[in-house]
Amino acid sequence: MPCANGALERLLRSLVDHEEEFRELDAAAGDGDLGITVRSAAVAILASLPKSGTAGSTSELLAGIAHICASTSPSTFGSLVSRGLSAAARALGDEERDELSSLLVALEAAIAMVQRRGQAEPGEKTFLDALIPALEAAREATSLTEALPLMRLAAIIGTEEMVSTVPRHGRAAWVGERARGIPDAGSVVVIRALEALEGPGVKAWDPAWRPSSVE
Amino acid sequence: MRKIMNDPKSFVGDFLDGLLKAYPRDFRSVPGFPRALTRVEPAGADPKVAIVTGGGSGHLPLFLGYVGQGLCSAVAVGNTFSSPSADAILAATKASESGKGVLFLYGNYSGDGINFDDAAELAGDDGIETATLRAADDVASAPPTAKRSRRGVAGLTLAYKCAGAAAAAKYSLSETAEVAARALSNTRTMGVGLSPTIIPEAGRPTFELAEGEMELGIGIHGEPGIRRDEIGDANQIADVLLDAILAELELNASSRVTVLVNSLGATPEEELYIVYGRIADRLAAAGVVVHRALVGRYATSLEMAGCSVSVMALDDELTSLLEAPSYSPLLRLY
Repeated sequence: MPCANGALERLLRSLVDHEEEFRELDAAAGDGDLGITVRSAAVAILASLPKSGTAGSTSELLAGIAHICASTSPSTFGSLVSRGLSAAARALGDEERDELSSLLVALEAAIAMVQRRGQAEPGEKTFLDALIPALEAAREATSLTEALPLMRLAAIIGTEEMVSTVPRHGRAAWVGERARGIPDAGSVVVIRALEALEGPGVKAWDPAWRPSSVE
Repeated sequence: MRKIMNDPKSFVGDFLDGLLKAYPRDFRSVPGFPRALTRVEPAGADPKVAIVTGGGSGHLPLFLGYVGQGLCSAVAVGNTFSSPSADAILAATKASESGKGVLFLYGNYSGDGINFDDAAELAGDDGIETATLRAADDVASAPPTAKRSRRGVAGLTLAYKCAGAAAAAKYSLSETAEVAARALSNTRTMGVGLSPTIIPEAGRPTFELAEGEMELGIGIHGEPGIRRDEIGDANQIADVLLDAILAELELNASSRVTVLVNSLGATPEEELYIVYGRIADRLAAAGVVVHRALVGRYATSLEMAGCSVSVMALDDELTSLLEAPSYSPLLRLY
């Protein structure tokens, strides 16, 4: 699979642009460092991307990104994303696959690793609740182009289903009842990433949540 | 934002640079790993268990202030409120171990757990034996039925002190780990926040409190606590914190304890002593003997106002370990 560096760049730039949204969501239910975590990793990855199309395999690319996440953003989210991407890179290996098969193999491996290292189950209001529905939606598609909008919508539905629940994992779990009504910040990162991957014309999801009067 | 800093993005690197310049006799960074610091060992020091800790920045003197003689051997430093990398933890581990094994002693946060576990695996590949203990002393962060998911806060101070003394006294790795585990399981903490905290890189408060409001059960990352209440007077605050702790510690008239009253950053020592005065009276009335009290800044959340109270139930061994000499330029211990 050739590296779609254009899409990756778009994704990373979009994550940088959404720094404040991630920060606000995380501050409302966690400790407020998610925006910084995501921005600093995205900036470091952008700086590492080769300017021309001389990149190696997708597996090598993902392994490189995993390494950058682990060293620049070793927060909980950054660490889990890093371990997930490493697992995806190992699962992809050198084997030739079409784009959709590569995506499925990578995402399955990443989700399994995130679940293992984060010791979280689906339904505990973590970013697994966006990722797992996205994977299931991708399995129904026949091409990558068809998969991306299905994945985005599935991630939105998965995230929205958890909004009214109380998180059961990580720092947000300590907030308990007061996190009810706040979308999971990590899931929103997944949604923003999928929106950017799909293309510039996608209408951004509105979480219908606004931070209280923090200025 | 009223902060004294240069580029917010280099906040952690800048403070580490100044700290290393301030205490060149005490701390050293590991070559090639600016986020891994070790204590400066006296020449000819005998091999002993190394204690490696680590965590996010923004909590001074936690975590790196606990690196010192009779305390931790090395620390991995993360970004503000964010875990250190596994690479930095591994570097701290390799630089401080002397063949007797390494105890990883840190707070129970998922990011730290992931990175310390990876470092433990990599250290194992290099033939370094490790044991891991995570502090989970904050009673406000989960009910007693879910103790293992609680976060680690100021109670770490007492565990560092006991484990550090055990390592200095040439306890084996398993013995040192056993001491640290007992210190942790005998310790409970609860805190109250009176003002929010501002992550330098974010530049905005993580939450807001109305005038006259306090956040009960607050953690050391500015994360909200369990409930908001009107700010009471010092005695009322001391009572709420102590009651939550005593509900779990099962102290009796023959118990001996150490009490730690900790500022979350902005609260001055005068106020801490007012809180301690009430706690001392309450414990005395219950017949509980306070062996020692520590009052000051031990685990902070940047400029947050507020305090936490920790109580550790003592046995003879923990008492003598707490009495052992120790030194770090950032701490006032026994």
